[in-house]
Amino acid sequence: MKVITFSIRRSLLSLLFLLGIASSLRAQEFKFTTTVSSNKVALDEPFQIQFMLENGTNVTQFTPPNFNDFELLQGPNQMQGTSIVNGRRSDYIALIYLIRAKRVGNFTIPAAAARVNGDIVKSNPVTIEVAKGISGSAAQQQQPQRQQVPVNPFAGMGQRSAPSHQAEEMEGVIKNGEDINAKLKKNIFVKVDVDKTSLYEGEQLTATYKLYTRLPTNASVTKVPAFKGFSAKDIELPNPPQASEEMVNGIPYRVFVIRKTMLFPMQSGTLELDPVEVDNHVRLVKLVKNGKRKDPLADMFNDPAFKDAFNDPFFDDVFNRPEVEYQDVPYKIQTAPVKVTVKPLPVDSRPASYNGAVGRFNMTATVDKNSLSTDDALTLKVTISGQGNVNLLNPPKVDIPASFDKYDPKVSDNIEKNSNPLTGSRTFEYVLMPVEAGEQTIPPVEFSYFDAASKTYKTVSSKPFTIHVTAGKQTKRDKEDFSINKNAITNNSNSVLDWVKHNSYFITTIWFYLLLVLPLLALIGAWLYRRRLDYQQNNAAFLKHRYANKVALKRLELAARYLKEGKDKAFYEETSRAVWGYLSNKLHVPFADLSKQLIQDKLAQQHVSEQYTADLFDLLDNCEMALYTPNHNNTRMQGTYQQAVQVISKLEDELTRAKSAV
Amino acid sequence: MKQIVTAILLCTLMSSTRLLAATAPQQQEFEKANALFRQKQYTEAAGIYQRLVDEGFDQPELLINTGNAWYKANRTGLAVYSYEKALLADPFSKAAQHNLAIANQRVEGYVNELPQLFFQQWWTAIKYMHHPNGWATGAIIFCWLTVLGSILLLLRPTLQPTVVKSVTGVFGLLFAFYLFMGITTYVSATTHDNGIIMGNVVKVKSAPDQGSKDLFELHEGVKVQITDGTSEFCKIELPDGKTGWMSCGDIKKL
Repeated sequence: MKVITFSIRRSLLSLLFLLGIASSLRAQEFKFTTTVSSNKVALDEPFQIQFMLENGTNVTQFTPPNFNDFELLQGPNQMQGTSIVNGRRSDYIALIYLIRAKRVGNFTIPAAAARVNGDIVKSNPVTIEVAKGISGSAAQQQQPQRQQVPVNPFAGMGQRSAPSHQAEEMEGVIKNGEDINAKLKKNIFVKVDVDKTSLYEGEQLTATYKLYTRLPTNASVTKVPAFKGFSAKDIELPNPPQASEEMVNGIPYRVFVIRKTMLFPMQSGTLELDPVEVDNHVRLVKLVKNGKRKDPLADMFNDPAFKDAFNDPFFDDVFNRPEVEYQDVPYKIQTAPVKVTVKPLPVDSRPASYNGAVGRFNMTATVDKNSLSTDDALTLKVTISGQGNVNLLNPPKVDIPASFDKYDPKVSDNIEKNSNPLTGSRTFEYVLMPVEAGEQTIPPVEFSYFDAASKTYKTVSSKPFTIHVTAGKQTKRDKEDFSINKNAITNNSNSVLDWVKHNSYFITTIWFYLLLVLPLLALIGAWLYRRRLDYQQNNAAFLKHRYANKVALKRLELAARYLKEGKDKAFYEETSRAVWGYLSNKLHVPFADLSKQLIQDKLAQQHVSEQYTADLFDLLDNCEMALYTPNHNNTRMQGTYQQAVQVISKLEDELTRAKSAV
Repeated sequence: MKQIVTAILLCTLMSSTRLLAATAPQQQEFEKANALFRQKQYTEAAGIYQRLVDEGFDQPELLINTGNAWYKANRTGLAVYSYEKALLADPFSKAAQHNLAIANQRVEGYVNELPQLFFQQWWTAIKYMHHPNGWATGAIIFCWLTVLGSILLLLRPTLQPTVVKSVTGVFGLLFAFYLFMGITTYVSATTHDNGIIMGNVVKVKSAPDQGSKDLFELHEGVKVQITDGTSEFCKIELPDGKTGWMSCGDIKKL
């Protein structure tokens, strides 16, 4: 392998150039790429093929592909360097061959191989179309080779860099007295293409932002559209960007697609696509007044000293063309805003199951098992596939019976990359837990979409699923009861209430006690009345007897005192006197007239029984005898006294009864 | 017998009050509060209900409505209080029991009370057969009937003495029972040994002074039994047996 070591100066310059064209490098990412300056070449047209190893560490071997159908003109030239772009550092090794096609046709240059870090890596094969003579190629052939500098992959959003290129060498040259702005305006512009300007809500719209140029420029997008009112999905662009040729007003332009986006309007009305702003650095060649050569690059390939070098006009300029001046002109351009009319979807014919799909879809619904136990789970998989707003599909409504516990569906997308219109499928996976054993039926899944082409709604539905559920081991969970009565308070009562205060207590009032005492008083009254009645009826005799006894005791009061004192003579005298006195009093006979006979008559007259009379006389005899036969006997005295009391009491009773009887 | 008596008592009480109720200003207030409740102005509705309650009305319906309004106004303590009051007025009110259970779900640290045993339930049922005033009135009536029977026995002993005697005996027993119940219900109605915690978080202390150790915390709406107390501090007991002292101001006595 031939290795050409560049002088420091040249490497540095190359490096600077690369820095100029490459807006960014992905740091530390290994890449092995094959690039050609043009995929379409004319026979006999020499072109460059470059193998670039980026960030390859420990590159030990490089095997170039077999250029069977090509004639190797020059190479390999090796370039090595480091670039730091946007703070990202990358190392690269580039091997450049200059080749020329031998025959007309399509040829594939196979991949080159290299050993990096001990592993064999391969670059991409490249297809070259060789034509006998392309229209305008004659002119081109007279020109030096068109420069298509390989560009590094795009960096992040908004910093997309279009490759610097020379659309037409002559356009890059400013002639004397030419207005730069007018020239720029004429040769560089950006345009947005939309595939339709009137569409339905949710229908796809493809917007393509293109850069048209005839000048070598280094473009970067400074303002990306926000697409207000749309859901946007970018289409990945080929990398590196492929230029195509387009005729505008008869003038060929090189066209670079800056951005291609699929848009789905989210609302109806007139929506505006935001402009894209592109910053260009246009390199213009300014000829000095006494310029020897009109074409600065005409003899580039004729210069043997630099034939091996990177075909860089910069090089030439610096080293070979002191009379040519380069001027980098900044030029900011933006697209004209585009208005899009979004029609609302028809409402009247909208099916109930419609929830926002626009396009052409198909739906399949499957269950992963038809028989399971309540311990197990079932997956209902609904796949909606087709063209349209696949990325915006809402889960179709599935009426899961109450005998299943339903969870939120798991959503997974499978969208075809770079499909336009957007094509793909979205899958909804519903996990269902059977709660009840038995034959359960899941009703058909229904999905509706709006077909923008036929302007009608279409509905697809699946078959119903019959699931056989057996009872599992797990005990049936108590279903939480969310009925109104369980965890909500009862309703208010609006009835008419009795507005009575209950805070006064009857038991504490005086009335309570009065009313309690009153019947007791009545009871006592009744009792007293009854007692009196009883007294009158049954106890009158006893009471009278007691009275008589009292009379006797009163009469014998003195006698009792003598009895106590033991004066027997006085006692008997007094007892006798008391009895006689009592009789005289009761029988109304003067004391002097009293005699036993008279008393007997009187008592008989009053129906006093004979026995009482006998007792009386017996007592009187006792007293007389004791009076005249004095012997001190206390016991006898006592007996006489008792006898006297009894006699008087009995007589009193008898006399009272006799009196009342009369 | 008892039912007849109850019916008679109620009839006499009702007939006198029914007519008044329709036009009572309280009913208008009550309906105003009901309307506010329906308009979801719970705090305002609760204010009117509470005013009626504070005036001394203790109809279970009013108390339940009060509790509902406080519950909706997120004043759990007052809601529990109102429901407990409603249960004191009518311990068998299903609505009050249900709503109290729901309100208690919001009470932090709620300790479930043990359900009453069957004889306790009987006792409660008997106690709430009449209002304390009903028992007292019954006692008076049976007193009169007993006395009447006794007087009959005393003054007309010849008039079927066995029948009169047994009837009077029954009346006497009933009188004694009614009097006893009257006193019991009066005592239980006027002793306020239960209370509801009103403060948001109340510290329960080991002794009745501010400096003593904190034992545990109680949250709004917990029902406690007041077993002892000074003018400032109350000794409380929880259904689970925990005791402690706390400021009486944080308890609303039932």
